[in-house]
Amino acid sequence: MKTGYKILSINVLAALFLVLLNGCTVKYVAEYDAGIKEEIVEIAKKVDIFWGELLDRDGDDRKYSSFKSAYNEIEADIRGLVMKNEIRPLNKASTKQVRIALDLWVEDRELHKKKDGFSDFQAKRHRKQFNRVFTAMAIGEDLKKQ
Amino acid sequence: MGFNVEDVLEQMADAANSEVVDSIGDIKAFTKEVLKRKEESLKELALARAADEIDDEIFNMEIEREKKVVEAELLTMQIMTKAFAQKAVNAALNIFAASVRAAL
Repeated sequence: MKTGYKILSINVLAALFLVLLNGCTVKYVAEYDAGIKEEIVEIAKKVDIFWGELLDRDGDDRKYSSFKSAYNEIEADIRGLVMKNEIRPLNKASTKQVRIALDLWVEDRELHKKKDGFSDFQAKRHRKQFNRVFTAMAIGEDLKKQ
Repeated sequence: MGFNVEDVLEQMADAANSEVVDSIGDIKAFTKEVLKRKEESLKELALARAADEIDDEIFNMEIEREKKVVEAELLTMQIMTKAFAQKAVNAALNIFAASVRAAL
């Protein structure tokens, strides 16, 4: 009788062990989110169009008021992305990346407001900077695919 | 079927190692690209300042922005190393689970 109990106990333990093993994976990064990746690409496109339209205008036709609504819209998009990233577990690096994009965007808005214009040199440079930041973000999201 | 600890450990190490080997190339290529873009950007900035195209205020502002952009790029490398470590550890754990299952 005792031997029967022993065999049963071993079988139960083995079954439990198998159940544990099946769920035995480690997680160091957040789950991949295709929606977030798509949103990064969409915002990157909007930002690029923004700089393209600004650069299309002559230097004296780049008043802040002409771009105010675009600044607002893009800022809201980036803030939304910050929020979505913040609520995901294991996602500190991606959240920091979007915060950097937001810092740069707010800085550009303040600069534009202060000078009521934008030089070709800085506009071209900042267009490239945003491209680099959004590319880094998109690659970062892609890496979470397992 | 038996459970040979040494064999299993070796297979686990091989699985983790093959994930690591695959990822080293990606990390190297990305690092190279980040450094290249940073160099180009700083070169452009230095040339513009030397040609008096920009003043000190703009030069300093751009240096600060460059630091933020590089930080964002380096954060991708942080995600990359964590994601590759995750793959390597899980590959080893999968081998372990499969070996235990086969032995039972």
